[in-house]
Amino acid sequence: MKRKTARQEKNKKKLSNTVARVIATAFLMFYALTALYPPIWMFYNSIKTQKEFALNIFSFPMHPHFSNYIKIFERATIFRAMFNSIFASTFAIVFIVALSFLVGYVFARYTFKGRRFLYFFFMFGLLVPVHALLIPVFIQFKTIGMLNNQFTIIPPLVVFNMPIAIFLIEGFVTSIPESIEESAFIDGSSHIKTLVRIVLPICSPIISTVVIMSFLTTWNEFGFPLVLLRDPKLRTIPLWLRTFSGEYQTDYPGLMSAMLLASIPAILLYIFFHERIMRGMSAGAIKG
Amino acid sequence: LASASIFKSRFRKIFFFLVIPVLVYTFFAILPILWAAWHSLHTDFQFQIKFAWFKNYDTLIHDPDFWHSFRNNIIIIGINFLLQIVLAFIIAIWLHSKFIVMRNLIRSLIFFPTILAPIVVSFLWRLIYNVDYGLINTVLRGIGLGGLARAWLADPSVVIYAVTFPMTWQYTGFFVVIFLAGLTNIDPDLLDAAQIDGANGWQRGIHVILPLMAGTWRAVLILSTANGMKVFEHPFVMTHGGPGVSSAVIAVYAVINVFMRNHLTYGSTIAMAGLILSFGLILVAVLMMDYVIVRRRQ
Repeated sequence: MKRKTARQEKNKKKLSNTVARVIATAFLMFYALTALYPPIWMFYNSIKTQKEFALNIFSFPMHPHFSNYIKIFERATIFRAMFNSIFASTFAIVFIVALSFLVGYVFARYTFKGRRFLYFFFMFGLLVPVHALLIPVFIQFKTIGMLNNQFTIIPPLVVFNMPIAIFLIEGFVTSIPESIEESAFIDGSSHIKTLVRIVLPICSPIISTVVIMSFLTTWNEFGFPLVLLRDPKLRTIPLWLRTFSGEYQTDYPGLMSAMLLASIPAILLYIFFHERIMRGMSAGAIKG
Repeated sequence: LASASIFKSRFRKIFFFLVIPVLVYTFFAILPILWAAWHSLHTDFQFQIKFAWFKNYDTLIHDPDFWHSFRNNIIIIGINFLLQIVLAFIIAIWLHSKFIVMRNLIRSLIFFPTILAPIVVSFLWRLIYNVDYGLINTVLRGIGLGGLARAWLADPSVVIYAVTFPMTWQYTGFFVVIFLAGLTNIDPDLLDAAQIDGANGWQRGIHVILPLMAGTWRAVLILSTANGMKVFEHPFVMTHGGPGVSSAVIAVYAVINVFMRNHLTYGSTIAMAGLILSFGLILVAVLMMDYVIVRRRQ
């Protein structure tokens, strides 16, 4: 008798567990959908005509058509903006990786006087409200005549992405045994050569994380290009999107197509590297 | 022995490795601040710049629009703490338990908005808030609450909340992942022990997980305070800080002053004040967390 109630009790607990499990999963799924639905909504409305959109903003397109996208490519302003964005991101990423690797390496391998100060110095860049610096950077660039050229936007992109890259690289190098450099050194390789030929390749996992994250932030950056670039020819993708929305005020499906085109590189990267992106962004953030 | 040889002659080597990165960083990240500090001590009238000590700061202290912008930063930090951080913590605890199916998929989906460009998210939400075709008003009308439908971004009484919510939406997943990283560092044996001792899920959350994650909470608080002070793109793109300055934040107010009102030096003053207030707030957050952590240990 006693045994039976125990079993009933256990069954009941199991059942309530299953129910709780279903409810919790359903809630989380629902939450995940609210994170996902707006972009999806944007996508399927971008392949509607304006008329179909005005009729019902929820319905899936009856006759999906891509004329919104074709229209954007025909106007061709996007190509110049893409070039500018790719140009800026590429240069910025090269510098971010090179400079952060040096600093991260030194932080991981050496204890020296002033290390704490230097650490704090770079930490400052992680915590500084970047957009409070829009005007200071603008004024400095204006004074030294660096506004409005193809390279203008690169230095701010580099320095404000360096801190997080430094801390990621430092963490990784710390986990590599020092004996690797030492044995190479004994074999007669110079320290710099060892760094480039041996340490850098070992760091490739963290370097690729840095590259991906830097691409996302530089591609998405809006504030600095906005204040530093006036010449329409120099517009990066976010600035292009802003101009486009000004010209297409009421063409909502058209605007959605442009927004989607602007996001495609980021979305593709996320599809392929989401684990790496999540790990990199959270690890870099916690350092602070 | 070998280690002595490679890491010797250190000073020259360290200097050699660090000199370029530190110079670049100093010139483009630190120097602008010093420049702005100097600049903020001037006044400008029709592009004539003249040294004037703290005149701009005096104006700033008596500028209600500036304090309104700062208040908006605080509102954003507060709402994000209540909605985003707390929600993210709960979701992270759920996602961490083996209990949930498809945990990795759900986690990746929730994180997804983080990687979208702020400008895209802002435009997207401008459409969602659209008076005639927006998702929100359409849903409200659909469920018979059409009376609540409004021009979300043009109504001064709600606009700051309307501008805040897209940020809450966009970055909740980011904090979920940070909390998850903190949770995986907790020794599962501790949780099992608590369970064996008869603690239910809620009790485990409050008395075991929360204290063990003090470090993560510290990082999250610093981060969300810094993020709240850094806000620029979302209000700028959605409303330009308007109507009037009702949804302006400090960074937006600085840009408005420089580019729309031509108050160049005043823009620097606002930026400087923004920096000082941010670091003040971050310091308060750190001290508060450390105080809580120390007190718990005693």
